[in-house]
Amino acid sequence: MAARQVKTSDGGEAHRSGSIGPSPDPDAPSGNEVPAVSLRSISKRFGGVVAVDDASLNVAPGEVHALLGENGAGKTSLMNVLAGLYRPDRGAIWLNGREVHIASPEDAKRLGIGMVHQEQRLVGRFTAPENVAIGHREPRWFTPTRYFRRLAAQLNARYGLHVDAATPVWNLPIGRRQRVELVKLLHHGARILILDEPTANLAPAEVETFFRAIRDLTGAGCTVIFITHKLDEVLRYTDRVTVMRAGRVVASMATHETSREALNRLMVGELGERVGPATRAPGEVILAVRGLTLDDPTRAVNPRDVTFEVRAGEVLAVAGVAGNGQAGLVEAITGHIADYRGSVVVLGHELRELGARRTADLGVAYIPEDRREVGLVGGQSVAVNLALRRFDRPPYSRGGWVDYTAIRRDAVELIGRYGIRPPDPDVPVAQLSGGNQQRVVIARELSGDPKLIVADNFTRGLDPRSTQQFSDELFAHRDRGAAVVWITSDLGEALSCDRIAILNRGRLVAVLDRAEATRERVGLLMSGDLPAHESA
Amino acid sequence: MTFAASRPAFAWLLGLGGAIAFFLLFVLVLDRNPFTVFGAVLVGAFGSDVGLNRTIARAIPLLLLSAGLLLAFRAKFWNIGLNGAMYMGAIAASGVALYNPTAPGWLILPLMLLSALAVGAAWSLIPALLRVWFGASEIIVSLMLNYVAARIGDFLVISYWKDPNGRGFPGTATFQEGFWLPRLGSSNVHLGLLFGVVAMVAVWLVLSRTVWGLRVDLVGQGARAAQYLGISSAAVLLAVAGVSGALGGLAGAGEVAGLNHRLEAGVTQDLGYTAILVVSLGLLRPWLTAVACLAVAGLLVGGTQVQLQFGLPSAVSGVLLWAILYGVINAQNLAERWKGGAPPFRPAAREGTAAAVVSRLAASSGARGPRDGLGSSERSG
Repeated sequence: MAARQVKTSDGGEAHRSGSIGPSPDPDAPSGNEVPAVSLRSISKRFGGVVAVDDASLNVAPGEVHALLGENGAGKTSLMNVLAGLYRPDRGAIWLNGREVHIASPEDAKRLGIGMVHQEQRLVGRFTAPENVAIGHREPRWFTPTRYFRRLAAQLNARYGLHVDAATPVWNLPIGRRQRVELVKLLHHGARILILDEPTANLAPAEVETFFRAIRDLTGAGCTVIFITHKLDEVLRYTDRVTVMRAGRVVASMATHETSREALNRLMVGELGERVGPATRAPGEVILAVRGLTLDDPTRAVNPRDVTFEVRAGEVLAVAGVAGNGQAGLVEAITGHIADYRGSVVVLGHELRELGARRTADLGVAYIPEDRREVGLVGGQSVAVNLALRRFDRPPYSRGGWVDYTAIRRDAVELIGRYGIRPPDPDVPVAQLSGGNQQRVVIARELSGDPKLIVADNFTRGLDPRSTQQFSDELFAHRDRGAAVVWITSDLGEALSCDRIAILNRGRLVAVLDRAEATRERVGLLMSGDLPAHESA
Repeated sequence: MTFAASRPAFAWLLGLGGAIAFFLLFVLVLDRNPFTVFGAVLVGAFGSDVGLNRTIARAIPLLLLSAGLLLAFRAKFWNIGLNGAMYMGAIAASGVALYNPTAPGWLILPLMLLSALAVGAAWSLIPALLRVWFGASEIIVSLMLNYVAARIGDFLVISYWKDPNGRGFPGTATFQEGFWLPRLGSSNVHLGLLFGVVAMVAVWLVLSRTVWGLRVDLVGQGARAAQYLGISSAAVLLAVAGVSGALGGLAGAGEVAGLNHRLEAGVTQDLGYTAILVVSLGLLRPWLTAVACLAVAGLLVGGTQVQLQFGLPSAVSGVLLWAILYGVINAQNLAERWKGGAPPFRPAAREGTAAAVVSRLAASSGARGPRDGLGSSERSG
């Protein structure tokens, strides 16, 4: 098959803009097909966090290519590089056998690359044709209704949009809105479509329709890259699949050559050395959650009737794909919200009446997921950040005056004990690497020997060595007699815990003992592919 | 803190230099020798006893206003309403004076000051309460209240409180001498200077040494972290709003009791806005801000010198003043941009200030949610 030219609606605009190198492609994979997209050794770091690590990807023209991985595997970051939103630190992008340089979304657009993001980027008050016209050959001065009616008719004829030219898009069902986004990209000349978890908000019937539409597009010469963590959709609807894990591409194969189990294993990786099980029998109940239900309208998924217990000397994993109600659960068991139904009791105290501060005073340590924004105050020094829990009481303050000398003295000790680098209590914490920032949070939260530790995805974005070190720390506290709740989206981490509670769509679908939890079973429960009753 | 090497400091110098260069060019276009004019501004402000005396008198309200603003901005409470608070303070003090014309000064003068403090605080608490209760943007509310305060003042000085012997000019009668703030010798420098200095030193002490000051910075620099720690942002916001408004009110009282000895329309001379420029130049640090107060007061006073000496409108010094603000803001934005695509991590207290106000103004059409989530952000990919 000859190299398919990237055609825009203006007819080959791609050839005069964007900087397309003149040389033919020396690294083209053998075989008769030149990939429509070839990403070569792309790396992207954010501060100390490696988002994409030497990732390569080939996508043949006209195929539906799944980019599969867990949350935080780097899928979206890699695709943001292709869409011109991020500039890679290293690596090259080739389109149809020629190297291109994509410095901005405009460059990507000129080269025929379009991305549908997870959050929809339509203007709610505008109609579908208005949204489609924004930013591309829109009428210069006036925007007459007639123009949009004509455009709508054209779009309907060309792409089967089937929408009223007069309805604002916020009135459309979500599946329709997604179609508007697709049509917008096509109208803007996109022939390589990147879809970031497009089915996340779709009902099953809509998913079917959606993929039929995608097939029509590839039939018409488009190439589709489809970011997902849903195995089902990969197996049913895609031609090829590339699996990413921890920023790296770990495998790429034709979809019909693989299986659900194989993909699952590739996606979550092999376990490191499992930490030994608890040596002592669990002690008294530290945290008891009964029928916890939230109704926070700002979240898509809230905890529903969640019930579990955690005892002294055990680590309970709350495993689940992000966005399945973890956020609300964490806020409830750390005393940050009071408007929940059911009960949350820590050491005999109902948290509803306590509030965050007095909950912490009970001996509840909380390592938040977002250490930069929540766990730390970036502009303040390491010393102040280490004292954040106690700066307003003796010995750090007396009579309303802060004793910065005392704060600094204790900080020096903690910096030494936890190996924080650089070992300078006065440096603003924002200047530390991700791992060292997490050390500051852990030093602050765990140095007081807490009775309950709530750790929310606390290894996210850290290198393997720090990850190992921090989970060891957590298990050391378990062996000391602390109760630990570890919220995690990582299957390997979940399986290292003493018990695993699996959260799906706000409900605890199963609570398994370490002995009965297998990788496949937990993975499938997490993805919602295995109904809860099958696991019982 | 390595101030000299820090990025905001560099941006600051760059903006200042650019503004002065622009000013010199501007004067060149007006066909005057730019260096002579610039020199005349400086000499007019600081070169003579009269100039210095007027400069210090002008710095008094700026000290009070910027001390309050400093506190509010450090908590990221963007109080644009100090002009209104200052106006209301002047009105309150004048009211006490006008309705008790025969009472003894030792009783009335403190009452004037106290009522100004109280009314100013109440005025700034309006936007703070609306923000805490409903998530309303304090920028819009406090800005709008400035006009309300100014109209109330206008109304009073042309109606009920108008001086019957004022020959039609809008303004009240002069207060009796017992209600005047003591002055330093024969100068315009009144007791308000002491209040201003005390306020600025107190703000410095509070921010750098006290538990409450650290809370202000924590709420300002890490609202979500403060929530995580169980610090009540609402309490901090209400407190800084109240204190900043009170100091604004005191600035107004100082003008009527110390300088003009009567209430007249436009008593604030928009110093409530000028104070935003001052704290921006001062990078939200008390000592730098105090210096900025003096410098800006000098430019305001020196401008009149230009008018006398060169026949240029005194607005010429306003051009310099606001060019400085513009330059400093843009240099800060530029410095932010240079930092590039790093994670969205803001530097410390000195972030933005006026730049942040301006961008908040631009963004404030979007409503603030009643509460921001604290736990895991629901993201993936």
